[in-house]
Amino acid sequence: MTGRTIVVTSGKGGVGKSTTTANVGTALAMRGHRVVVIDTDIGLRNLDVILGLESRVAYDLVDVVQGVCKLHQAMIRDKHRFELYLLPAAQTRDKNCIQADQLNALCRNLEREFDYVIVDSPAGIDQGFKIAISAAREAIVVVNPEIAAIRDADRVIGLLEAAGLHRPKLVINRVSQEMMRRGDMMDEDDIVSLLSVEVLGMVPIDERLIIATNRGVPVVYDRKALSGVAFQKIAARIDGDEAVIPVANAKSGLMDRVRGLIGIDRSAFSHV
Amino acid sequence: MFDAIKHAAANGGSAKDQARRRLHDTLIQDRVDLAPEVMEALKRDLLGVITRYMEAPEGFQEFEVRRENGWPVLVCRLKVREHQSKIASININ
Ligand SMILES: Nc1ncnc2c1ncn2[C@@H]1O[C@H](COP(=O)(O)OP(=O)(O)O)[C@@H](O)[C@H]1O
Ligand SMILES: [Mg+2]
Repeated sequence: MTGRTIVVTSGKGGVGKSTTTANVGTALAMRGHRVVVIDTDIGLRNLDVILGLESRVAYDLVDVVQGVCKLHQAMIRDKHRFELYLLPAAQTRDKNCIQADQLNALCRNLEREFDYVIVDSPAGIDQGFKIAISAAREAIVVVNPEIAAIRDADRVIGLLEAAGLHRPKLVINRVSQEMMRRGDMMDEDDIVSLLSVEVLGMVPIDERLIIATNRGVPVVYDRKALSGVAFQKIAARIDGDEAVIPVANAKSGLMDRVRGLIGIDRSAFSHV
Repeated sequence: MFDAIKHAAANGGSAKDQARRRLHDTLIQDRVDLAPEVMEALKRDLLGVITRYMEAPEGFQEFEVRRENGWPVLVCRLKVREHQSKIASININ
């Protein structure tokens, strides 16, 4: 049995890729899986602090691919009781330190040992992004319900499809039910009709998430946090638990993507 | 400044409807990477060519770029007059 390598990407920075990687990774480990999360944001390492493991970083991803250390020397086991490991990014190197085929070989290797290999991608659509997606077999795109993030996500979805990563799935982060109710923020239907991809779940803007991140404990450990519950559900869906959340209007497939865009104001032609 | 926001609100419905509409148009442009004026020129020229052969009194009903199998596809649709006034469609890939 081989594991699943999933890249978490977005185009736009600051939308919650690393937060999603840390929490979904932790939640999958809580479900009993062996999970490794890889930070590929070389020069802007963050996953270590989000997971609260920064004081234990000795070697990093670049050391591993360059053979400076063994893979297991660079992997940091999470302080909790689960089978969760972090492979941190290099902080003082640049993006050219690692090549697509190296990350690819590494992930194939890790898939033999882990159920999930989750690759946290840097922002942007250049070299770092291309390397991060090259090793993955599935993709999660994180967006916020606002214009710039969705526009960037559309671009990224196009690039993922062109790279053979078909049907990426969406995490809509930082939603406000209150603003959606007032009609001040795009909701799930709006975003699905624009991007025509399946939604894994929506994560609210949450103070408890900020507090958890400050403490270096992923918010999925906080049972009272709505964002933590949302990440648990997302992990369950990734894990194939279809019963978890009925996400309305989940569209899949390319023709549905097409229909989605037309459906906005041209429903008369939706038979196309 | 705030007046500008109020003005926009009065004209375009809710904030989320405006966001969705603006994104819809922007994504179409992005997918084909042509300036809006160029898209308009293309539309005009195409209509000119088509109406040399058939009548299309209503112009394009649909003129947009979608994504199919990872590729942007230009899809145009217009009603043309025929003896029975049926709809014929022209797809240009
Ligand atoms: N749902 C949320 N509620 C509140 N703050 C959030 C939420 N998601 C992310 N954040 C905060 O936003 C910032 C950017 O998140 P991060 O995961 O680092 O984004 P990215 O990796 O995409 O650049 C962080 O400070 C994070 O704590
Ligand atoms: Mg990040």
